Amino acid sequence: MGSILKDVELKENIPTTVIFSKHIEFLTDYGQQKESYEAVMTDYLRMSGMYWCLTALELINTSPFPKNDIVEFIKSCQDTESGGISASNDHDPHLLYTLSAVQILCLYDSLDAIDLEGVTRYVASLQNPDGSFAGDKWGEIDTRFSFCAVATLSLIKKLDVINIDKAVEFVKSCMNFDGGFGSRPQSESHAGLIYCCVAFLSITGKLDIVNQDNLAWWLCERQLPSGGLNGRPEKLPDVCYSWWVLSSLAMLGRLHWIDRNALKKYILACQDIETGGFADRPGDMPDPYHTLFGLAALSLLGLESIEKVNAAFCMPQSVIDKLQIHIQMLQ
Amino acid sequence: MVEQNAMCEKILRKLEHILSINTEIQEFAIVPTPEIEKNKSPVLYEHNCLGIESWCKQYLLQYTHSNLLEARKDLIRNSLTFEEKKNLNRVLIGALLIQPNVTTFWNMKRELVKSDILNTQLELDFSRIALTYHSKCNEIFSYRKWLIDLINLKQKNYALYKNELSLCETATEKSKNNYHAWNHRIWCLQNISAQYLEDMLISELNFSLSWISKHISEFSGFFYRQVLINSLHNLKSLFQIQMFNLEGILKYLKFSTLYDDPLYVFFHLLGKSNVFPIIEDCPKFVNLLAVLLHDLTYISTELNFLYCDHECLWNYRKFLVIHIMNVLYEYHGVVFHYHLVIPSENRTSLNEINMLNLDIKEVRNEIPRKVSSSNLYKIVIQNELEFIESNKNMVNILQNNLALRYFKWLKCSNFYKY
Repeated sequence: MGSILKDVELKENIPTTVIFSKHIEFLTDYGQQKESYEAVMTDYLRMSGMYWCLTALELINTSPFPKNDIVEFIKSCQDTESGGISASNDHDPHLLYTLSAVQILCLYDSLDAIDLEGVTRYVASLQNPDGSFAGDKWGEIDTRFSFCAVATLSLIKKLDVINIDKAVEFVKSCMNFDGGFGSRPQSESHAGLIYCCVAFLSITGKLDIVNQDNLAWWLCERQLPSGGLNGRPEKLPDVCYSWWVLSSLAMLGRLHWIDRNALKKYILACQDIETGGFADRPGDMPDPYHTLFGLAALSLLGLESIEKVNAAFCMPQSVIDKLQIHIQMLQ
Repeated sequence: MVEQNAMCEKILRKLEHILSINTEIQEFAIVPTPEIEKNKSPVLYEHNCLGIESWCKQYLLQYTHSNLLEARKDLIRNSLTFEEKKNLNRVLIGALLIQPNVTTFWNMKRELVKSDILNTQLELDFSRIALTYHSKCNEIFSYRKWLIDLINLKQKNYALYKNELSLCETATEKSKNNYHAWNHRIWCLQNISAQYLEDMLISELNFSLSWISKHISEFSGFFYRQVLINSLHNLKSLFQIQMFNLEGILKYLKFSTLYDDPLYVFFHLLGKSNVFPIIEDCPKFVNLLAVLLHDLTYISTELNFLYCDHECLWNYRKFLVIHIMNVLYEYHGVVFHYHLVIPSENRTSLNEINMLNLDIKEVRNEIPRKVSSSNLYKIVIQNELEFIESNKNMVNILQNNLALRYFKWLKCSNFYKY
């Protein structure tokens, strides 16, 4: 009987080193198509797109864009009434983009440029009595938003304005028997949401509620023979999961439980040698999202030519150090 | 530019018109076509199917985005006339059929619903149509939840949830491992009134069984069944237990008993308990155990032989075994927390190998005697070892690895003792 494992096969002539100059080109060009069809298509998540590009560039020690323009853009996206920040001009404020904006401002050491009290007010207003967070005033609940809330507040040193105990209780209620987490209570374990919950607990210093080895076991099961990691059972490997699974393992103190050489080989194989950038799988179209998570994962794997990354915030460790923020990492 | 705007306006009017006269639209699609006949309308409409030709997508996208964002502030300030708001919805229809992941546009619709420009029922129809083409789009599910909560403020409606279930089924058929659709289904289960829960659980258990049999490599379907099984705790009656054919299951597990009454079979399996029975609690234990054992023998064993090499089946098996242990421990009044105990030599940094590929020595566990001496404990552990053995040393490397990995897991679990 033939094997039907869902995985990819790595070819012979795959890249085995990081092609830095190509990635810089790729990420720089990406930020400059303002009026194109693609730009309209991705307008609704522009702030996160900028965070992916700018953080990726920082990790490889480049910052080609004028700081002033970026800060001005972010300022123009803050809603004066609610204090929240939107993905782009005229869009509605949302926690996802509020976090991206705050992360970018931290990279540029410009937190004071926006109304931080407004941001604090906005995040606090989205917490529900059960501890969960809505993404915006319309009320969608997701553990992603719990992560966004504490990450944002931690970066601006305002964690004390929310009910942390309740917030932790909610995240705990999203834990499954396999040790993983889903987006809401009784939702399926998913590597992306596991990252959100583990990072949430790492930032709030409550990682001890995690069942460390049950979860690490599940995360190890995500590694496929190609070396790549998937996000749920029987799914294909994907570079973004390399980051989510790997950073979770790092916070759990179990980074050494997976085959790091094989993973490194897989991530390197996902680079596009012609255009630069990383794709989800070898040969697919690259994009800034996978480029950031590919580079960040390589940083966790100890590649010295890439800046050290912080596992909870997915930002350069030097930036987090400068802000004097400490996250919890299990042994 | 003027010409393109006029064309877009024409397309939008046509889409709006069709949706207003026909509430039975089954499907929407963007149909790949080259840009050839620009003087022919790109709106496709036949047999209750609606579509647009792909070449007009980019014009429509640019036109709707700029119009909607321009009007965004005015809508918030409530400075639009009734007519202007109506017109805005026409643009929203076009924008959201093409790109439904733009939260801001759904928010504009929410505001139009709140100001009574749009009707909740018609909005459920529209979002259903949008979902047929973008079946993984979370913003659509989120909008539907919002609408349903709004309708429910007046009256809890069973039919509404029934309708959501079939919508989820369509969405999960269209996109594999559709996380948001399954979440939506779970949300229905969590929100339905208690009086309907039993009916729904029974029909959902049947649904999930047939769904799993047809989608053996989609873990989301297995996970949904786990949620259903966990909800059995809420049931008070011994519902159609025959459905799971306890007798057949026990035969399969080579367990013979003189009793017919499921309750007595249950006692025979679990042994004498000092804390049990609290008679009201019996049904839930019997129900739960019947379903768990049924799934262990049917789904996890039979399907495994029919469809080899599926990690999902092995994963589901873990859930079943853990939960059988849970019933057993709870019955004997012992608190059970499943966890893995990794031997110290497997904890060291090895770097070049996945921990799961290392040899793992057996961990010594202390199991309460009452648990380990029960018939159920013995048959389940024996059954697992036989199952692993029958899947090991097969020509199929993948299945072999799955069996080995499962054995390692069993050896590390805190309930295993052989």
